[in-house]
Amino acid sequence: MSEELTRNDLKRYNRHVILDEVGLAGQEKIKAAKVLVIGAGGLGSPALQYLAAAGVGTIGIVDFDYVDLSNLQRQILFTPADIGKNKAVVASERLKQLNDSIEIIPYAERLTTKNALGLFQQFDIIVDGTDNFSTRYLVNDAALLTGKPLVYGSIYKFQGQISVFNYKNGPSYRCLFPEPPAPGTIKNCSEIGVIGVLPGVIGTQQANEALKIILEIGEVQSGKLMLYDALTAMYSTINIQVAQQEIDRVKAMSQQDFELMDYDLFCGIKNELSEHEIDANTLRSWIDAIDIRIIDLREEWEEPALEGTNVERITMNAILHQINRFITEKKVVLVCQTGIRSNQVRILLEQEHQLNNIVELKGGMESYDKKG
Amino acid sequence: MTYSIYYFGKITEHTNCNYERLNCELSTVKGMKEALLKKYPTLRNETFKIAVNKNFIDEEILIANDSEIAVLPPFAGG
Repeated sequence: MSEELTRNDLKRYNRHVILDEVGLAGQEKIKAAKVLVIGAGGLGSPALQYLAAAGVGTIGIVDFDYVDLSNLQRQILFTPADIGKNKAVVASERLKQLNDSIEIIPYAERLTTKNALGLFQQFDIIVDGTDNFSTRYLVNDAALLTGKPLVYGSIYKFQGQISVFNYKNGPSYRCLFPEPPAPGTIKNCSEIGVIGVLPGVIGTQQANEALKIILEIGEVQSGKLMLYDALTAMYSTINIQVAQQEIDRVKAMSQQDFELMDYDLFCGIKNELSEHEIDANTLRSWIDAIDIRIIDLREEWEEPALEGTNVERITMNAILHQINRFITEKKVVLVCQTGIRSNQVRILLEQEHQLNNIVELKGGMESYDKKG
Repeated sequence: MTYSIYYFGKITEHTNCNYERLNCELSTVKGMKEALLKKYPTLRNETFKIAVNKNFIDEEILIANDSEIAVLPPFAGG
């Protein structure tokens, strides 16, 4: 795409062009820039909107996930009509409506060690809007290996963190947190909730950092961890030092080493099932089995629905109200949305009745829904 | 010594506050970590970093009186 600004561009980006810090040359840099946004969710939505509106010439969007009704509270690119559609594809369509003079490339696939390096090489800046640790470490390492600056943002309930990693030999995510937390200790938004405005604040800051990198203006938040608290409306900044051994360890990886890395294993979330757990594949094979009861603990509105002749719905509330009357001869599979309710109910049932024929669906229906 | 301690993210679910003043003996970052684990035993399973006056410092450095301490867990949400 030509970096030269058209007449239409000059009009469209006038409020940029008349800024001394941007000017014609700056807007041309924005037009020439290629930004890859990983995750078109809470952070990705606002980041993408501002990057597209600002005229970033090429925007890539990676997301394998599908729009869900519960996303709309904060993922402002989507409407109810988009439910069930791929997020990268819908986001790309929406952004084209916003700005048809830029190139937008949706990648409706999961970011993996196999495709990350090739993808990152095609872009100048990576924006991390993912929602789990294994992808965050994968993104950090791929950005280090391809030498791309990484605009990091993450959120928890009412608080957010922002930084720029791998920028001009600055620190990387591993300099801040070399090791991921123990599996299951830090929940994501779908498990613990998040105030809808928060990803808007943080994702917008990420777009701002990306634009500062492109324009080479201001103070890029490299070597700084910016913290925001939506409840106190306070920002604070903590300095991050380079931990060279962490960076060197990643950079020592060959492409093949990286492709063989198992980030799920590294983050301890490999499907190691306990004796009380089954995975989605096992549940699929147990649908309609006459000697097994599958109990769906969810409310009626929760999706996706689970159907089968041996599936019964007893909501968590209902089962807790009559827990002393729950009798079963058959093996029972407890199913909920994320695996939290089924875990609680299994433990309570076992305590109440000394039952040992109860298992739960690990990760709940969200794991059932997302194959691969 | 008196330290001002700010807790972030999930750490506040263990401390039930996001800020407190802590009176204790002169301490290193390592000592501070141990003191926090003693006060809040359930923190043991959490990953967090301790910043002193907006910097991550060596675990063995003594923390001056009146320092501002931040207890930071990683976030994954997006």
